[in-house]
Amino acid sequence: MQRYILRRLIQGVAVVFGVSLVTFGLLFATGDPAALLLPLDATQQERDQVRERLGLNDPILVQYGRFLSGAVRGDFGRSIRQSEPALSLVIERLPATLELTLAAMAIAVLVAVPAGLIAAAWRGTIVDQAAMFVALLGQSIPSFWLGIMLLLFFSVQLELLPPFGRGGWQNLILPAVTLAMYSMARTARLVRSGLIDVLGQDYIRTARAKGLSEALVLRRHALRNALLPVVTVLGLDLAHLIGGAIIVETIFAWPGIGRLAVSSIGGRDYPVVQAAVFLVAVAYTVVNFLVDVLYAYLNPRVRFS
Amino acid sequence: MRRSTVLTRRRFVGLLAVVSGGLLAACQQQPAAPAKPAESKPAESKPAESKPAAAAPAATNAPAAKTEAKPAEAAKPAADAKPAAGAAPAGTLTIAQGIDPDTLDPQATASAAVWSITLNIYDTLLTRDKEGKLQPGLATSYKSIDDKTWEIKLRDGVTFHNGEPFNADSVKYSIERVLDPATKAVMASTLNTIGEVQIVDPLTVRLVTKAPDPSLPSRLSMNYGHMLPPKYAKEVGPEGVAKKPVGAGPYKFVSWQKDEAVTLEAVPGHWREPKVKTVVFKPIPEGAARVAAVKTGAVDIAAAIPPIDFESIKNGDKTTGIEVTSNRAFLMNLDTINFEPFKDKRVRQALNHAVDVDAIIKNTLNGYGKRLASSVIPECFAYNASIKPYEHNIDKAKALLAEAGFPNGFDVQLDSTDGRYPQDKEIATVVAGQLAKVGVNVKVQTFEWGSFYDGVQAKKRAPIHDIGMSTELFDPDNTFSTHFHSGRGTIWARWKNDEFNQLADIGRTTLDEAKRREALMKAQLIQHDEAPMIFLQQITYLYGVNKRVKGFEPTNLEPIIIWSASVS
Repeated sequence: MQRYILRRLIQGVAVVFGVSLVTFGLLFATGDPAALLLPLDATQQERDQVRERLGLNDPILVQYGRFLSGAVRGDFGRSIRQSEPALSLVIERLPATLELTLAAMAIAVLVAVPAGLIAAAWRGTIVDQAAMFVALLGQSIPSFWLGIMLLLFFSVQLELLPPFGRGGWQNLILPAVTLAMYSMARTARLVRSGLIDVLGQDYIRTARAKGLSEALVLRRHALRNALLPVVTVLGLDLAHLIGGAIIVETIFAWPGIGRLAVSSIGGRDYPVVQAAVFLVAVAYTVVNFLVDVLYAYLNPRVRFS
Repeated sequence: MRRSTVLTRRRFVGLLAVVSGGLLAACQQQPAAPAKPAESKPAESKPAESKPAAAAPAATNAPAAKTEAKPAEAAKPAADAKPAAGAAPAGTLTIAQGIDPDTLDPQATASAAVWSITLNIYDTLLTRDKEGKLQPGLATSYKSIDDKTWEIKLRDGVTFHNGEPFNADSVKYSIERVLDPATKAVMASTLNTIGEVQIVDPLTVRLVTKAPDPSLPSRLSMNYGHMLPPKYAKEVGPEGVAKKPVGAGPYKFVSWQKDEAVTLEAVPGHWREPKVKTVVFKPIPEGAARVAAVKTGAVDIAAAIPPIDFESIKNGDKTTGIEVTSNRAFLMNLDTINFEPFKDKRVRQALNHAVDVDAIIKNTLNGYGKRLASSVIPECFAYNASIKPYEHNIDKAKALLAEAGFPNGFDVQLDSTDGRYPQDKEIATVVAGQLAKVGVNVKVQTFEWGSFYDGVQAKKRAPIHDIGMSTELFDPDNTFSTHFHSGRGTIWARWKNDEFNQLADIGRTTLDEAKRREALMKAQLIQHDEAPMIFLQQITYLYGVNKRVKGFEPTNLEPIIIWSASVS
């Protein structure tokens, strides 16, 4: 177990290192960040001064070293636009994104588990087919389109929910549902297939033979075992949702990390973009690592494969 | 149901306020102000007659009368001589824009979204009305003393929101702040013709320019003409100004939650007579969400409505649409220096004949745009109305191409912005399709604004690229100097024409208006004939407005100025 953890840990560090390369590379991928800070008719001299001030004239390796040593200490430099440390700007937005993500996660679980359960219990019937059709739809609809449709229907047509912003729970519903859709659909399918798998096992037959009601068999014996892989996937989904909130936050004007990243990209505010991408990537890696370890703990077979 | 009771209550309160304010205004202003003010506010006098009893809370209006009583005000042009408006500022107005500001330092940005907010907090020396005419602001008058000196008289009795007096020192400080490289004023060039700011007396300054600069007063109305309180600005430094702006405008800054809201509150008794008490700016990036927000009444005003949604907003139950022809010309800039086919004037003319601009406006912009014959918009000084747009004529285009030695056309790339201007990348695609009909095969590539602009600065953009040029000065010199004159080291100029340059130089430095006019009109003629770009249309800005908003008058500049608006 320890060796497994160590191995996963080293892998995790390697991933974060790779992420740092990509994050750093962002700076050079799209051109000169000095440009947007300058007047239309800036002279070459002014251009050089700004480049000097931002350290853009140093050799790339030096710049990368500076970036990496800063990143390790949580220092991504100051935002070019907002003259505040980039990381604190990102962390400021973390609660909004977490609120949205956790709400989405809750909706996904609360809908997906019963739906998967029902589909599995009524396997092959019209109920099952309908549920899985909806799930397939949910997995294939782009969240951008879904978000706008929900907005037009529930906000504009019915005037039930506010169309944008963060505030009360009403504000949370539309973006959270939009964000939850993919995860919800995937989880429902997973619960269904897990249950069907488990329901074929001997201990279920034993339980039935003991004369337990079908509901009790499903709930107490089958569901628990079927949920094990689901927990893993949900862990991954959580990390995925944090990163995936970008589109949803933009549509519903939700003031989270995704919005910040998008507006910072628009404003060429590289330190902030780097901090946001780095933070999300690290969160992803950490959650991944924890899920792997947890899973290995729950299911010893994993450790030895 | 609930909504309607709220509305009536609000209306009732509003009515009370109007009535009481109207009464007060009637009492105090009668001797000083003749018939005119009564005319301009007919709505208020009626309830005042019918409900005299409601006058009790009128005391809150007292400060409103104070500034009006100042002697300096009496000498002002008509626009300023209005008495205190009827009501004290009331209600909340919510405005949705596409983006959140990255700073609230008005002199360190080039973002219209920032200026929408700061132009309400700060005041500029001069300002522009709906038609684009210069109006007094913090300056009450200006005159040219000699070729290089402008003398400006300042409004008396104005204080900044922190209590600092507005005077010649503030002007000197604010202008020098723009010119100071430390401010990182992205568009310092709007004021950098100024060599020195001289203080004559506390309410008079002289601006001495390095060379004659006929359009300087115009520039003072622009966004870098924001006036800052020197003591405060020095005390809090650039970061303080960026986060907590203090100005002398009709609204003072209250709070800013990033990506959520910027809240402003009316300054009681301000000479601009703000009518709404609280103004909230909300950033909503997605066009469809802005449409939804204004349709549901979640916001009162939404800017940059997509053309396709405008009809439904205009005819909405609760909303109306306002369209404003902007000061922005949308064009396809051609590289006549490096791209072989475009060196030939006939090819450039052929492209202008090949593109069906009317169809683009009709189909891609739902009709919201005005065709242009040159880069100069009709609202400009010295606009040459005799120039007609290129006729859409495919045969003529083909003939010109053949004449120039390209009977089979050629391949070329078009770089387009994505989302910077209304329907920009869609227009690029249509232009490509239309040019294909005369054998010119266009490959379209779209860019987010930042990287697009980088490419422009590095002079690496494709032989055709789009551009939306604003003409804040309503003077052709505005764009001739930064975009078309090949000698001034500008990034957009991809065309060299000596005769045009000479005429543009005359337009830049001549104070004699007739001479300037003649030169600038001729320069337009040359530009049209030489066709260093495909002339397209003048952009129309589209706003969605809730019907409870009255008096919102967007100007043809992008920023939203709110002091004339009220809510019921």
